[in-house]
Amino acid sequence: MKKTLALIFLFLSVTLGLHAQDARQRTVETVVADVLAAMPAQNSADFRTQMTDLAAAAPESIVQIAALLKPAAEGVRNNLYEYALSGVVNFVSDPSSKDRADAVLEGIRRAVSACADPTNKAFLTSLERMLLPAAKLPEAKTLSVKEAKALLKSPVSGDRCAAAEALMKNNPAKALKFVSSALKSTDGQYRNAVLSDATDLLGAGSLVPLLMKRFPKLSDGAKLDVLNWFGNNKIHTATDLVLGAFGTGGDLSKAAIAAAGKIGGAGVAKALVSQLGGNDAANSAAAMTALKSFNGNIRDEILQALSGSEQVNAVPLFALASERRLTEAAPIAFERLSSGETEIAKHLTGLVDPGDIQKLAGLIDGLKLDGSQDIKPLVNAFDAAQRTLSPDKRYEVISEIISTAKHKEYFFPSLGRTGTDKAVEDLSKAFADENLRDAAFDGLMQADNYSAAAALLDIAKLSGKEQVDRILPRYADLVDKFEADPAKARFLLSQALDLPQSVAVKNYLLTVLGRIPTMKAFLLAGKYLDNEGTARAAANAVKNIASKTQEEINYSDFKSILDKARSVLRATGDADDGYSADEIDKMLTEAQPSPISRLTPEEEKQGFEMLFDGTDLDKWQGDKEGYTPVNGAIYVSADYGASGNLYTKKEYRNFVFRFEFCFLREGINNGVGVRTPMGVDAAYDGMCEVQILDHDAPMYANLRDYQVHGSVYGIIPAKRIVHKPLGEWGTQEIRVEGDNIKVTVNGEVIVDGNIRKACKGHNVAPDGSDVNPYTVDRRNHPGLFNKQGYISFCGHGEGLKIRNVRILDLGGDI
Amino acid sequence: MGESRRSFLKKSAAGIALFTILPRKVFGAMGGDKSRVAPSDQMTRGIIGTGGIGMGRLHFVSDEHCRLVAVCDVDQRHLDQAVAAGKEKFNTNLQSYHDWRDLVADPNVDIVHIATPSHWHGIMAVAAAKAGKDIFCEKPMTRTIGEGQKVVEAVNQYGRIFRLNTWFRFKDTFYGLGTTVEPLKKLVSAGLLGWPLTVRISGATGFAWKFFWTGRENLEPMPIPQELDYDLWLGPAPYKPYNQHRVHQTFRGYWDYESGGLGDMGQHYIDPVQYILGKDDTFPVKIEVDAPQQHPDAVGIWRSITYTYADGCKIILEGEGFESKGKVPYIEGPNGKVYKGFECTIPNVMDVINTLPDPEPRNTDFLECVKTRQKFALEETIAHHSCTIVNLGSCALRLGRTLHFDPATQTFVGDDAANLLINQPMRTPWASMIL
Repeated sequence: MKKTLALIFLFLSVTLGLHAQDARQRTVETVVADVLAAMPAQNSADFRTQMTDLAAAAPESIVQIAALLKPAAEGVRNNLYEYALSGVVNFVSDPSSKDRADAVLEGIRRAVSACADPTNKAFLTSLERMLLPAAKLPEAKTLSVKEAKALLKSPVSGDRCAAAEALMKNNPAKALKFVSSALKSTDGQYRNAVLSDATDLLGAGSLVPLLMKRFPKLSDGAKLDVLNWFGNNKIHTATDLVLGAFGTGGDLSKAAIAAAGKIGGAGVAKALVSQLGGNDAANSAAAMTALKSFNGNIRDEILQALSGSEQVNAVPLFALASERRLTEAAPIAFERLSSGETEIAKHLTGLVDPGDIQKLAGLIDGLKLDGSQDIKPLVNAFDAAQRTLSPDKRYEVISEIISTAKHKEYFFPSLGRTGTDKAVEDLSKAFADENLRDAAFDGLMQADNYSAAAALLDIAKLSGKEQVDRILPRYADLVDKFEADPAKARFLLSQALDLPQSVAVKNYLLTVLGRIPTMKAFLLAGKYLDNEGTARAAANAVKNIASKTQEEINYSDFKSILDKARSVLRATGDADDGYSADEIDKMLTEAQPSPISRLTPEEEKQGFEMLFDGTDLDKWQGDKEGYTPVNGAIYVSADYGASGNLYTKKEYRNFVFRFEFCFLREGINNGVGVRTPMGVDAAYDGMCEVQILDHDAPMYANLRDYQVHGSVYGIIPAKRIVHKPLGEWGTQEIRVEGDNIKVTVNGEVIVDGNIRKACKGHNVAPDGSDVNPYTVDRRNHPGLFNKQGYISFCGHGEGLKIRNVRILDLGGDI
Repeated sequence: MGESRRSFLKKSAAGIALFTILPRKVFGAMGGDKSRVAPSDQMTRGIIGTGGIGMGRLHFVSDEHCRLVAVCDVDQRHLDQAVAAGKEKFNTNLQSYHDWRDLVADPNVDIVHIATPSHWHGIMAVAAAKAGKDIFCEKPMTRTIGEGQKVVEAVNQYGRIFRLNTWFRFKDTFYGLGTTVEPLKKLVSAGLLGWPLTVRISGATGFAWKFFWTGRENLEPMPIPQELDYDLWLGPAPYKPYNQHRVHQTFRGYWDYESGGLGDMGQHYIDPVQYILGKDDTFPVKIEVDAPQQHPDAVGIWRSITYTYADGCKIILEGEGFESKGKVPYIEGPNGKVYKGFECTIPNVMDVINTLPDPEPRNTDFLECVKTRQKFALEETIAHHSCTIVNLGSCALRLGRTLHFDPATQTFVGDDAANLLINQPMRTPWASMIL
């Protein structure tokens, strides 16, 4: 395959090379035809080659192509001409290839004047413009001083802002005066606009003295603006003023604290830390935000504040220490915890390290869970203390703690979170113990390990609806994360969907199903479109699958399901759903209806009958789930591990059976059952099974000749052919007349024999034993001499396509 | 244009149409309808464009902090739906406008929410700024670099508050990263990955480029639906015969209005990267594209777009179906890599990040910004920078060549044709509105 591509590539580049060399000898007509045949260019090298030729033949080449443009109408195709013309204009507008720009421009100009259709003319004119110097844009209108002065009195705030800006720009010396008067204005929009314009004009430093001087007497609104301004411009000299405003209360305090955080500096850190845990909750929160982003050392200030005892409420300090991973604070935290400040437990996670594991285990094991104590913060800290250890090491540490703990179950969730195989094993065992069951379940729910999925599904099957609702989303996540085989993942999710569950959970499962890009997942999700509760999730799922899948989906299913999904998505009125509906639009436009197979005129004359023309399986019975019509072919997609046969509706005696087959995977195994009853193994209880087998797969290298493709299985060997590559179609004919059977593959006869002769008349062992010395496979074939029966496809596993199935019924007795 | 607007006015109830030009004080003088006078701390908003975005569950809202008072659309059906939804959801009679200039002139509207296709964004934002409105603009900010410059100028000149509506630079899980951008910002700012950095925005790192937003060639002219004022829908864009694929949900596939998946998702994906790399005040200097030749009207697909900054930092976009194979880092520097899901080559990276200060706090509440007149976290200048990255990409795609850009002058270096794409022609009278 790869070799062929490389050859094609080589061939193309050789011909393109030649063609560039002789461009000047070709007529303009030939150049134009060659260029149009290569439009649109797929890469820049091709583009250069084509456009060099086209430009070399300008202006005539341009005029000729433009003359091909027709007025737009249904069925009119101008696109290649548009590609060529805009391409050549872009090409010569490139400063590195502009040699022929004048000739191209002349061609475009002639084309413009020759063009009568207004739309095409507009297109050509737009191309002309690309080759002309840029027209100067008129300058934006600026306000005159007089206009600006008048506008300063406008009732619209924006007008006054623009007027002030114009006047300040006109005379920057007056900018400070504008600031000074703006500070007195009650219009916040104007105040801030003037502040910002003056800053741009004069630089922040020039404003500082004025703002500091005026600050005490300003209105609260103006004070707020100035505090914000000090922070945004990081005015260090205003630090004292800003710190002084911490206590003013309300929005001003908050603004001052935020501004101080932006200004930074050592004194500021101390002041901010002192606000943490104070009486004013809003100030404390503002200080926390400022300290979290504080660009400087806050470690010393925090530790110092923690070791002091004057702090009313140390919780925010520990929160900050934890956030910044100040492990030095851990001993103080444990000390305060033991003296009854239980709130601190919530902020241990960033403070602890592996050295604290045993201490935390002791604290956890000592808890009484009667509602008075909360285990979660300590368990979080316990987990956090292990975060630098490997999962196996964590398992080792926790299981050792469990072996001696009073309350083993307290540690089960942590055990589960190690995600190790052993943890899942231990928890599954513990689940059997009535007393440990709930905690073991919690642990299993937390285990990030694929083996937990099977355990959870087993639990779900025995649980009530509420429990099922808890389990299934987790189960789906595990399947989603760990199952690499999409067919298996689809099967596992279909099992979950079959359990009783809430609509919300069903929708979650459908969302996960939407990530499995297989035909069967598409059909499964499609089934949930009709239920109002699940329609939207199903619609998004089928959309996602359809856009990703590499598998073929039968056109009529594709269309009906996506049509439905689109109307569901359109109806929600949600913007994202609108996007999805558009995506479906595009997919439906591009989808092709299934091709229909037809008899050749000769077959028609001979009396052949179509058994499958690509549309439906009306003339067939049996496993129609595993054999489905997909885009003109029967797609064999039997479920994982399941098996299934497809039988003709009628029985036949003598016949010519023709079909085409295509392997999509290596090692496909199937077969045609001849004169067989239903529900039996055709190779033994039918007359025979003619093998369909990808015997070229390495795993079949040692096959016997009576097992290869086309062989009458176990009875008559076939000539071993070499199959066409995967994805290509082969033809096959099986002619059965009396005891004679003839198999022709890709036009070559590979079996032509007589079954009675092949077993010397003994289809079963004459002595009644299991070993029959007369057949090549030494087995009994009780059905071998059947006079009539069904024709079937028999096999299992996914990846075979069959199409154009027809039969000539020769009827008759032997 | 004037023709169709007049005929609309004739068709619709004259009373309603007249309403639109009554200034606020007239209502005051008339004494009635107190609900029209907003309390000083309650803001009001009008939406231009009531299609998929404007009617989305995040935007078609009205509450005591900010009341939705007006809607505008050139498609009468969309407009009727919006008015009906306003009745149903908020029990309000929304003022409805056919011509956005009337909504911008409405004294009852404080904030103009621009939710039209992007070829309108620049003109509308400038007009709204001039009318003294604050602006909430959908992505991408503008369709051309020149329009972006004009918006920045106007917003500053008129002292307005502007927000571009994408948000990953300050909140929410950022697609493939699996976290907000904050930890990555801290990691990068502390220099722990080294410098320069390369960011790969690709299906391989968890970002989809939505190639279904491609246009169609050979569009046949179709009759314009009665409810649609196509001329006003086009506005500044070149006149082309109507085809339903040009408008509404599929307009992104045409260069005249946007630039496909790049235009739709570009600013969404790239703005946070600009923040992470600390490039809010500069632009890339080189843009390279690898793509099939682009049609002059219909947006096509591309394989990759590579932006390079003067200091060597790179942003690489990989088209759908052309992603790098194998394990690909989202961001990569000489000292470390971060992959999809924040998998990092630095051991215990979250512990390391936790010891670093948070990024400087920003103003992320737009209504609060409007009240306090502080700049929003994603204000006009920053948004113009990240939108320009998108527009640089579409210029290079359309011309099919490598472009060089000068951040100081915001022009292409030595390429006249590319510079023509910075300010593209507009139909009258729209060009004059943005000057």
